[in-house]
Amino acid sequence: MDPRLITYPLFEKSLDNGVRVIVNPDHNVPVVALNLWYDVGSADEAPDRTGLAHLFEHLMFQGSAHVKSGDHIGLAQAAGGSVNGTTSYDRTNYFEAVPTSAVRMMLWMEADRLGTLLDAVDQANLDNQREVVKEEKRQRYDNVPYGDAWHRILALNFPEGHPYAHPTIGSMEHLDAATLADMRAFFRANYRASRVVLTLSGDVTPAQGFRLAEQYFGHLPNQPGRRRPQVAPLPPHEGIPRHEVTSAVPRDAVYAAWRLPEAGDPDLEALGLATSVLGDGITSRMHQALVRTELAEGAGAFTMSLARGNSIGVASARCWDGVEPEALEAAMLEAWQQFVDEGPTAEEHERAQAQFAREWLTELSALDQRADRFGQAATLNGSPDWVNQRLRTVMAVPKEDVITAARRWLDPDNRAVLYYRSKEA
Amino acid sequence: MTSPRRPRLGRQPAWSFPPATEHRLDNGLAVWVFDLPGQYVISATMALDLPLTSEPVSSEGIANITAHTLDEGTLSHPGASFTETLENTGAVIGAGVTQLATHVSIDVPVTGVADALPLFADAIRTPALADNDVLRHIGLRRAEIQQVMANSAQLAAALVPGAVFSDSFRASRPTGGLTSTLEAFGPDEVRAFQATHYSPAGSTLVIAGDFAGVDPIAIAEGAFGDWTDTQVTPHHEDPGAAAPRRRLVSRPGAVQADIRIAAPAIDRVDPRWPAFQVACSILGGTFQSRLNTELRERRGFTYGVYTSTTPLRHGGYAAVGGSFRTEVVPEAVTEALRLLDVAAKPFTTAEVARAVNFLTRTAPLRYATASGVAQQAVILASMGLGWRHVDESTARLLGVTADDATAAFTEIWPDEPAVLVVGDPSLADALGVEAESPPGL
Repeated sequence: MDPRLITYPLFEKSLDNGVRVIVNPDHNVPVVALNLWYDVGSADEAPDRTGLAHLFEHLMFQGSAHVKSGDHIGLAQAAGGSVNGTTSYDRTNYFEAVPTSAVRMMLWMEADRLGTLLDAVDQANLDNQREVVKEEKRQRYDNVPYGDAWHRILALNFPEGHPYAHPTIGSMEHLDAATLADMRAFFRANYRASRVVLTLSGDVTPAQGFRLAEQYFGHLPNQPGRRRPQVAPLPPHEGIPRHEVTSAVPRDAVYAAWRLPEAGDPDLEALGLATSVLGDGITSRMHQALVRTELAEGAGAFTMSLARGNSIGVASARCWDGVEPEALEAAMLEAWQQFVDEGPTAEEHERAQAQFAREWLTELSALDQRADRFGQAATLNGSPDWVNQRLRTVMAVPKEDVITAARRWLDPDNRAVLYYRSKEA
Repeated sequence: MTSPRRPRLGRQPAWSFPPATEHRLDNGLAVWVFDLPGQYVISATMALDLPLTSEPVSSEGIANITAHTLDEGTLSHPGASFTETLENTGAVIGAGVTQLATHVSIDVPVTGVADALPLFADAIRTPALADNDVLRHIGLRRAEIQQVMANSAQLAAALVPGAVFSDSFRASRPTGGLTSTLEAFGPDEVRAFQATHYSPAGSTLVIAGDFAGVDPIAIAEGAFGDWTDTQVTPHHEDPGAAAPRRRLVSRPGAVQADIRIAAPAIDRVDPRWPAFQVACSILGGTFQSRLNTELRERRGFTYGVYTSTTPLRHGGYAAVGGSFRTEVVPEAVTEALRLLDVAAKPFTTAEVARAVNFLTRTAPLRYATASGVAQQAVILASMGLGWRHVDESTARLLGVTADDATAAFTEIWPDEPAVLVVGDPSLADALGVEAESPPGL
């Protein structure tokens, strides 16, 4: 079967209180993936309360009126479920994939915390989860070589005060400063039926899915939704902003960042193909020019889609022992400039499309990831059907569009640059 | 409106591991085919019966270098043309080594499988292993060791096998070799290693995906049917224990320390395996485990603390691990050791029921994708077990009692496990050890 022809059945309905419900029946295994996309993320935080959206996500697992602290995950796991939540710039998602036997219970628990979380939030669980989140920050960013690279790239790419200038994990100072009143206000402002997309992918029929959604979420109040704040697009970098850090890393490293158009802009899929040719895998231009030549120990490039004004594109490479970052950056730019001048070859273009097809189909083959993509599509891409259209869209991007988009957005002169220099520990 | 009443769990759906069709080619290669409707990306893995005891002691790491250089070109598609041709089909290839086996994998949309599998076979059977590619991969492995040394959690993980197994066994040392052993071999040795140890007899090819309109056996036969057996006989060791000790590996200024508490354990064939799995799950396998509840949810010491089990073909080990801010490390170690004293607080029937449910009822989800099924089948093949082991293991788990779990853990877990801390040297006094410099990997 031609992978471009694959579509996943999709049914959509809104409850009276604004909950958008998506059902994607798939009866191959007796499992249902539930996914809730809340239209709130770290980009919605006040500049003096960074990290609040993520700290709040932790509180969502600390119990609600009828669920004890820790039981949301505990009961889901004991029922055979995989469960978690994550916070990003434009959204917070909560998800559980469970055997069909536990679908009702999970819907009930999700609705209970959306309806009654404030009955359970108290100073003790805020203080405990504040410590847990600070440990998470140390473990994932502060105690890891290059662990703060992404944070530095954001700060270089977006001006201070921009919704994407600060990392989702926040700062220790702001985490320490968060009060119970902050958390309550955050919940009241953002956790509303009108701000959630509920997706059910798996062994459930549309009729069952809609009936269950109504049964467990239908009683929640109808409060106004919102329009996501519009952020004016930033122009491409000029004058090559640079930042340098000396740190206890084993090797020097070079990162370059570009401002790309926001999610939904047709150039973004072409730019995804461009960064694939440039920096994905051992056939890529960067691998050939930097790793095979023993200038770099590793090299890659990617785009990240964001909803407010600009997305971001990044290229990175770690110096081979003894190579200076200036030399590595020069070689990286030469490969990049050649690509921007000439574009991909026909073979490279088709290969990038074939690789995208495999990656996309692999992602959609897992119910939990598919459900998450439906939630994303409904929240950020206008319609859940975006999931079914995307492969066809990318396979239809002509080579010429990749060249045009690369020239428009990925010119080496429009980069910002971050260096890591190794300091002997 | 009032909120709805709390629902009960419904009837647990019937489920069993997807059955494989098994074939054996004339050269001894076993082929397991899992036909999984709706899985449009085919996942295939060659599990070579290649324990790391096959490496010369002075050249440890040669299996890893060999595996990672396979896709850099083959005799029929030299250099970059190999991966370019392969990736044009949408495929991606990967390789890894464990103590038991070398695994070479490919994922490819079903439309590309007939073109990609012969290329996959080329990489395994007739790789070029050209001088410059081998030498570059040796350089990359050296660089990787430097990165591991600089990363607290990775360094701790790398030191655990040496903390549980005696250094006379291969299983005590990193799968990828040490900086010193990487000096001892070059391209000639790598080519000879591949020619001797990559062999069909004893190896298993696992293929999973939606095969509507495709004959996977014919494709496998075409790709591997005339592969000649090298008559190599692998040796699977039964590693002996190291004397347990407490160790602080110094990382001055680190804001967290990585703690690992580890001990030798058992393999999947041991009759106590299901009970031991249940015990480890209660202690640290889930969010509401004894360790995570106390150290994360009550005390806020860590982002998470977990147990892990690493069964080998003979024996294995178990470990507790997590990252903790420096000032709480001594208390975290004491508390973790107290929680691991199961004799003092035997498991309850309720705890066992929850753990058994977790371990058995998550199976449909874990094995819902082609890659999930293939990965599990490959692990079992490399242990010398069949794919039916998943269902057999589920049945045995359902029979585990609280007494079984308590007895298994107290028998297997020693009173004095190895304690390894990678963190700030100021912890030495409180931990009662001398801080030592990071060992050379």
